[in-house]
Amino acid sequence: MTRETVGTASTKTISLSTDVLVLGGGYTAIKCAAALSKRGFGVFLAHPGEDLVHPAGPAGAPAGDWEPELAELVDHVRQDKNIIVFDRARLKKAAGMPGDFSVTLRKGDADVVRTVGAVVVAPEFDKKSLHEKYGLSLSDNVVTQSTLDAMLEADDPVLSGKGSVAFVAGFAQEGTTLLVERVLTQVRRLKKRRSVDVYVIIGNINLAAEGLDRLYAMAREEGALYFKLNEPPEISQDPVLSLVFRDPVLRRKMLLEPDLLVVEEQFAAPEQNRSVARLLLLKAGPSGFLQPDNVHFSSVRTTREGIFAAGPARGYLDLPQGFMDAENAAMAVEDILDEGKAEVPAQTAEVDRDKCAICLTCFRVCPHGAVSWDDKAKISPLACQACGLCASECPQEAIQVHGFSDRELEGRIAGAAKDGAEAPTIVAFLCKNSAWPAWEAARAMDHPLPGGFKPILVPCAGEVDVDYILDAFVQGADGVLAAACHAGNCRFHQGNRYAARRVDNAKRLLSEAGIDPQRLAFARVAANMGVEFSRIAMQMHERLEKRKKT
Amino acid sequence: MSGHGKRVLVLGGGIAGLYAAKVLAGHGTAVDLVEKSGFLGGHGLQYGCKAGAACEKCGACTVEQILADVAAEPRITVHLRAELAGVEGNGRFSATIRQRPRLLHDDADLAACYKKTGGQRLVVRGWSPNNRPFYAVNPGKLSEEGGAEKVLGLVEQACPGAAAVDGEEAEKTLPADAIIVATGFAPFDACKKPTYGYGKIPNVVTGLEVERGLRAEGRVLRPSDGEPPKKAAFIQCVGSRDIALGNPWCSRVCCAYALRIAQAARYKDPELSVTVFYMDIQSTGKSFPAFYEQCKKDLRFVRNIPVDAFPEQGGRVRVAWSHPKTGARVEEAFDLLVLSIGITPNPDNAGLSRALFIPLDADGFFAAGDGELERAATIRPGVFVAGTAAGPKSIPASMAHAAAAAAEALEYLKEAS
Ligand SMILES: Cc1cc2nc3c(=O)[nH]c(=O)nc-3n(C[C@H](O)[C@H](O)[C@H](O)COP(=O)(O)OP(=O)(O)OC[C@H]3O[C@@H](n4cnc5c(N)ncnc54)[C@H](O)[C@@H]3O)c2cc1C
Ligand code: SF4
Ligand code: SF4
Ligand code: SF4
Ligand code: SF4
Repeated sequence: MTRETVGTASTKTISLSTDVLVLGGGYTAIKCAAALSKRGFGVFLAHPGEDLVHPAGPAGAPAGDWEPELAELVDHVRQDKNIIVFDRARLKKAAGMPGDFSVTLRKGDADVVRTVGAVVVAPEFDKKSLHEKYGLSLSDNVVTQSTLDAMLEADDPVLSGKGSVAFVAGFAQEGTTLLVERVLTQVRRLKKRRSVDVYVIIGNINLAAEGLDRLYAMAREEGALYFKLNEPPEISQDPVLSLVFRDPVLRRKMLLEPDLLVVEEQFAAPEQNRSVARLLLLKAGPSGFLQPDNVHFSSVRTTREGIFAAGPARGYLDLPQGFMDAENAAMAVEDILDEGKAEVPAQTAEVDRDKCAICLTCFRVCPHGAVSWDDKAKISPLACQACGLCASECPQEAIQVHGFSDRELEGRIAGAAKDGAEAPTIVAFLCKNSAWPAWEAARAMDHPLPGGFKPILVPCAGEVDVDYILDAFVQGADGVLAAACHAGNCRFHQGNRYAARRVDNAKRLLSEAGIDPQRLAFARVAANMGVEFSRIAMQMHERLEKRKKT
Repeated sequence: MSGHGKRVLVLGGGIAGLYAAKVLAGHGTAVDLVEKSGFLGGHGLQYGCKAGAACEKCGACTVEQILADVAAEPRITVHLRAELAGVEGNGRFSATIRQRPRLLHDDADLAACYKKTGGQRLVVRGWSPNNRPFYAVNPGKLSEEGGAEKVLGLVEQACPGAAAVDGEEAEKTLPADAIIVATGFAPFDACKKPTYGYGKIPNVVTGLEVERGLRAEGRVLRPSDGEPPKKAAFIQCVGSRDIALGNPWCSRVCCAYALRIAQAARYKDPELSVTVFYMDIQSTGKSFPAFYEQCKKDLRFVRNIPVDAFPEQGGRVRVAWSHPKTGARVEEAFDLLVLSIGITPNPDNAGLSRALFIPLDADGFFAAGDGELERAATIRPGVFVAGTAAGPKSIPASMAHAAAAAAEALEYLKEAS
């Protein structure tokens, strides 16, 4: 499907594909496919498994009470005409821009190429057994959580022979709420089957998730014994399975000889994430998740427009959170692909095709994957966030950001540097997302600011060209400040790194030109910290005053 | 766009209400945002930045940013100092809101009055320049004896000529195609744990006070002398995971804020020693493992919740606990004791639950999503819940929940039309 959008004075007419690729075969992906179909999008649901099944794939959380709802959902998606399921399929290649991605799926031995307007990445967790970290080998009486799940599912007669079961968890990894939920659910399922003594030896009880505190309370009432330790128990498998530890409540040594020991597993970021990140040009975050650990990437956003990460793709999220993500991803897709919303804003960056030497610097620096090329570089107006990083890095000065062109900034710099009778004049390049609002807060709160303070708004501190800084000095500024957000807080992922590096370069150039590099400063401040902004500006002011006197 | 020609009523202007309103407006829906206090932003807007060498992902600055977005959004109509009086209709609603008058006409008058009467706290300011208007008559003063009349008298005295509004409380009726309840939480009242001496011992403070101090000063300071402490302690789970109090839930945010504040304070003052008394440390997000490892190196963790605190000389606070290994009583003095208070249900929940015919859960939060996969829907079609109104959550989790509430509301609007 494609939809034509009509351009107005500030928009262009581009045709968008209203098909969406969803990667993953677990419940989050299935839910997302359903949510997209409901909104009128065509869906390609690609997953590596044999078939879409219920229970679906290695789901993040045990399905428990949601069993019927989930079964119905899987059935529904299988029958939905708007959803085409590709079994045994992986993403092999991807190119293009929001509204017009070309994706190649490897399905069995064949390649399938499709055009889609957006991509939602929603694979399930990988589960890794951590028995080796305990120095244990798996056996009849030492099993993983997955093995226990299978035994419970199959109602394995072996289980009936086990009068006592112990769990160890939270010593081989920093625990998560998912781990605790899984242990508690397994304990309850064991307890429900028949009378069995259950011991849980655990590090932290991670309860910070919806309903988990209540689950813990219920699980405790049902009679399992919980031991919270700071150090792992000593476990030996030979000649008999035994655990030795100090009971922190009764303050005495404990010896357990359970019939069965269940060893914790780790919920790890989906293995797929790595290749998907590479193919889709995403900047991945910590622990293999597909979202930078940055508060501005809220909910399902990734570093690229039109590509979203839902559920386990982006963090340690449980099934209900994955479902919220599925809805949020569908809504975000609607946001960019739906008719009215496809209006392409004029406030983006543009390439002067006459100047472009096709060096592809812009392609490399763009954090949003907005640059492609034909015989010259091209910027997708749907993907571009107007951060200006490319504009300041382009060696040909071939890129201009709407409202922040070199000419406009030169004018503002000249105005700021010259204006102001009360010296010292500080020309301050303030990032729109952090330092500018912090300066506004400082003003509103009546925090002191230097008399010669001249702020200039920039879309990102990373947009500040070395030329701008030098220009400000040439025009007569006593000091120049470039102020960005804190490391790891850049809305454009890494603009602040470019900013810091450029200030360093400019300092070197100033030294070479015999100008005191101390007159240039780089600072970091959060949008909500007027008081710190004031401190930074006043310190700079005092430095410049002192300099003047000496 | 999916929400064109529709109107949604959002109750509560904290991060959950703000974000839901922003998302809805982005989809073409008109929003009435009803906020009880004089300022949008809720609790999150009052928190300080906890960055050290790098951002520590507390989320406080996102509230500032979303507030700015909402302030610039023409599709959102903000009703300050307003509360829900009643709702009629089913599926399509007609909501009556009650609004307190502004008392003084323009911000300039209030600003002048603020400067003149600083000490009296007749007039208060917002937390952010995106709070518009930026000044308001202190609601605390209004609820004192004499109320509005007395306050206006004092204002007239201090700032003659300030143009007063002689408004009565007014009622407005707003049509609503759907309602999102985002009325947030109440911070735990630390006086309910009297053995910690909160309110009596000067340097026993709550996490909320430390957050506000961080926002205003950029630092953690002792209230008694305004100096940075050299030795501080945090007691976790104050008012949470406490069966005796009837608050069995984990508040899910206090471990994160306590550790981040501790590290931010240590970054500015590496000499500062911090002790954290805890039961379990809850994860703070994606980078938690690395962050916690660092915390274990920099902070002293004691797995025991103290029972008492006593005042000592020099404004110090003596804390007593039982040694986790031996059980022996241990006492030690600190310059500052922070009570990591948690999230409790908003006392308005009962009334809202009756007015909207949506139930509360056993803990007193709105029963949305408990045991359900759809986490923002209530039993009543067209009424959704977002943020901490439905249970403890962090700022990012409140935003995700609010987006889900908006998504479900937009689907509902489509089906209802
Ligand atoms: C001490 C402390 C520190 C914290 N630090 C962090 C942190 O660093 N990072 C983090 O992610 N989270 C933190 N949190 C959690 C954070 O405060 C919440 O996640 C967030 O405030 C929830 O937003 P909300 O909109 O649900 O509720 P609120 O922030 O409580 O906002 C609710 C809004 O609704 C209004 N309201 C109330 N009743 C009514 C009514 N009847 N009608 C109309 N309006 C009404 C209120 O005035 C308020 O503006 C902290 C919590 C505490 C207690
Ligand atoms: S950086 Fe400049 S010159 Fe190089 S490809 Fe991009 S636009 Fe062309
Ligand atoms: S302005 Fe930023 S987002 Fe746009 S193309 Fe340049 S680097 Fe990419
Ligand atoms: S520490 Fe918090 S307030 Fe500071 S930059 Fe990071 S998220 Fe923003
Ligand atoms: S988040 Fe931490 S301090 Fe807060 S209630 Fe939970 S365990 Fe206690």
